[in-house]
Amino acid sequence: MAKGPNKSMVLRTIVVWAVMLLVTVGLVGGRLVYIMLIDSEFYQQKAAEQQLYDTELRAERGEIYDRNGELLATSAQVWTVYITPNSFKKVTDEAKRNAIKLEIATGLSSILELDFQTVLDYTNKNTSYVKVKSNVEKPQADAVRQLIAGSKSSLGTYIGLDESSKRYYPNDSLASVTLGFVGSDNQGLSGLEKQYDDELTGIPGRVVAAKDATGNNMPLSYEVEVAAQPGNSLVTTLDSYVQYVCEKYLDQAIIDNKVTERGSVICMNVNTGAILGMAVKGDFDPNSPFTLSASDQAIVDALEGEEKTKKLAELRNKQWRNKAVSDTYEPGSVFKVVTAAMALEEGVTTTSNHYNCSGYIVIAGRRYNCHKRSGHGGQTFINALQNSCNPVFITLGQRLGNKTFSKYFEAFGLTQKTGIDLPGEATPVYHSVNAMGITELASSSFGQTFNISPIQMITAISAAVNGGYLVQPHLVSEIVDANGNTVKTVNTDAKRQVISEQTSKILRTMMEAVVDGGGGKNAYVSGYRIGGKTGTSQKLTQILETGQSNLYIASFCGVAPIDDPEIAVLVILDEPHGDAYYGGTIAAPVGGQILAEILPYLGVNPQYSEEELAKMAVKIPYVTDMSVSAAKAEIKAKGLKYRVVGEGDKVIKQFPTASDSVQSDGVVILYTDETSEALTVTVPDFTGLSVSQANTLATDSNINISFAGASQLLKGVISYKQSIPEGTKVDAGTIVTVYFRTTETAE
Amino acid sequence: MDNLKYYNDSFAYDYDIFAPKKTAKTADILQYPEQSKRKRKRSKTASVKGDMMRKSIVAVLLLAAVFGSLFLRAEISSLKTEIDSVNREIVELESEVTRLSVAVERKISLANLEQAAVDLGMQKCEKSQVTYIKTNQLDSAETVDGKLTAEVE
Repeated sequence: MAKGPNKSMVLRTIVVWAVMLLVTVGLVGGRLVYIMLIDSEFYQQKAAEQQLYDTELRAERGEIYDRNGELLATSAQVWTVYITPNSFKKVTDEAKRNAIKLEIATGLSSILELDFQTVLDYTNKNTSYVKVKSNVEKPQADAVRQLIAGSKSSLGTYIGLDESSKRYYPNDSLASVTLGFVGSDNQGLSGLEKQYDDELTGIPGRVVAAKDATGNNMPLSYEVEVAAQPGNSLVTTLDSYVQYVCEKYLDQAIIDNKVTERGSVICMNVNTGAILGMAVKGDFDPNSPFTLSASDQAIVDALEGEEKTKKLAELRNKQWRNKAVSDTYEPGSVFKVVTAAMALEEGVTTTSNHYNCSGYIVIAGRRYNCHKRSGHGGQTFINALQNSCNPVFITLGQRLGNKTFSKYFEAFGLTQKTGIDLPGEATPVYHSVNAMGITELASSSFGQTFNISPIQMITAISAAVNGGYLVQPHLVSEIVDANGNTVKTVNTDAKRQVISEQTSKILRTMMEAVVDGGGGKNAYVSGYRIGGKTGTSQKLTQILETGQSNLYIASFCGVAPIDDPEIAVLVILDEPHGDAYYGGTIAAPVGGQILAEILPYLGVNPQYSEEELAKMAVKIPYVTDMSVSAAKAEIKAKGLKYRVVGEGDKVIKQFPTASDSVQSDGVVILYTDETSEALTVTVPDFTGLSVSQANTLATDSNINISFAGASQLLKGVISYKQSIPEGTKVDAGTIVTVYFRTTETAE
Repeated sequence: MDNLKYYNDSFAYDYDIFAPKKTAKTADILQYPEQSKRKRKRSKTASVKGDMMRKSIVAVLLLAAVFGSLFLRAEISSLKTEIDSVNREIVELESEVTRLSVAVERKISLANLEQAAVDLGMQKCEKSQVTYIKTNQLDSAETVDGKLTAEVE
């Protein structure tokens, strides 16, 4: 008979079990400690993911305004329409499945204006998500919803709409290069959009709520919502009207002068550094920033393969690039204002000092030519700036020496970026004081052999005329939150004083002389005191690279009113290939046109001289319904001429109409009976004429002309453009605007 | 009920059914004085009837409270869905306003306005047509009915 377990066996069994239990409990407990204490966050996260649903709430991107509160950029909700091709697998009946695909392809291609076959191909893809179209606006999104609701095939299973946001630029290409644009995720990719992306973006909100076992939301018990915080908005210093005027005339100048490497205009408040306008052409429409201009697209279309891809990227980058800030150039003679400032401040010359120009100067065995090879002869320092005489400025550079020249070069902010609030500002390239020999100093004195950006140039000119203060150029004046509260304002204090008030005053006088009788005559605007300096610089690097000799940059920097400066305008035309390439001939008229429009807008009232008043256009009197003899007398009294058409004794119609303005000696056509047909004439060619020749031609042709461009007060001006093309049939008396400019150059 | 860890004050479910049932305490039993058998029997019948009535009323009230609560919850849920829907609609309509405003802005851009003016045969003011007046004090503009409409500096 077997004995039962003895006491020792029982004890051992208990011990074994106890040990096993302890080990098991220890392992489980240890694991629990690890899970609950050490790795708790991970498991909490896992549990939350399983039990909660989390949706991000889109933060509205801030808006961008001009200085008058005009909207420049805003955002609105749009939709992305997508389909879920894998859902079709659930439909087992092939005929039914194909019918649904057909219905979707027909409906979506029609609503979203897409190719039918493309959408049908999307439905045949072996994937769970295909984006059909993004940035779909409400009318189209509503139509898609109606398509889904109106179908008997439960299209909601296969078609979906995701909310997203789209950036709108109401003024299309206006200031596009400055404003920049955003990418598909609404991130700023260039311009102010990129520079202030953090401010504009805002903070997304989120909704967290529990979901039940079937995945449905349980909004009442566990939902927590953190509202999205909209981005801040920017109030810029840009003025839409000033910007428009800058772009309008720049665009025209690029066409007129066959400019191949784009152009730029900066309009800046010389006292605060606020940028009122920054135009770059050719630019792009930020509403569709990847679309090229028709001409650029044609270039791309002509290529194939990798070459095509490369060219496409190159041209896109080119149209997005802010030439006024990101590109450098040799400023040429516009820089002479800075050299003059140095020389006057250091006392190495006065305005009355006399210089002699024989057409060249030799420095360290190297001959530097003046643009006027025959020489300017004897001249004062004021004349030297008017004539833009290279030898005089080389002489002044030598007198200053490389140390003093470099000291002022740095003081005018030309050795470093201005710090304007735009991305990609170019770094200047210049001769350091140690690397600047006599010849480098000579060429630098008249603005060659160093490269600076246009924004640096206009900032330096501003310092020269505003009393000597180097200001901080800037585009954003204020940042406001979604409720309109100011978050940040920009400090407009000057960085430093570079030259004295007295020197600045002298420079203003000298710059006014340049426009009144020097190389900047084409920027003359009657009624306004304008100062300026022209420049024509050779693109030496490109000339050496390409072997082409006619690569120039024509520029002009104008300041007005020169007696109390407010505005500076810098015009740059890169590689003009038209009839002329001198800055004074092609860039100065653009500066004059811009100033003529924006000065009255900015509240600067014109002050006309007696001579200017005498030459002003005459307002045509109202003579309709008068007797012919009375009408003749009235017109004659205004200094105008008339031509009577018809046999009647009473004026029944006149042309031009009352309140139109024509130059004195203009003609008014008087119609005296109903039977007479309107007298038509052919517009003649008004280009290449002096003022008197144009007047005579207009009178002979029964056409009225209105003068524009360089004032008719100046001698030696020639017409170069007319508002109505030659050969056009118009009513007699029609007013044709004729543009004049001087062809005398002083670069 | 207190031992339900994740109980969240829900009226949708009667969590009491999971709670341990309480046993009747003997101390709560009423001891009636010795009465005549008949009287006791009548009294006992009346007491049972009243007790049942009370229990029925409590049960009805409880049921009403539960269903009422469920109904209110359903109403709140429905209203919340409606509010979300209206909020979404507001965002959509605001976006539509923005889109249409942008479309209007484009139509009346400076370039379009200038072109339209030129097409209408209009021309810019000549210098002779502009008179600049400087005033030292506020100017006021009056309408034909004599009412002051604006003051300009």
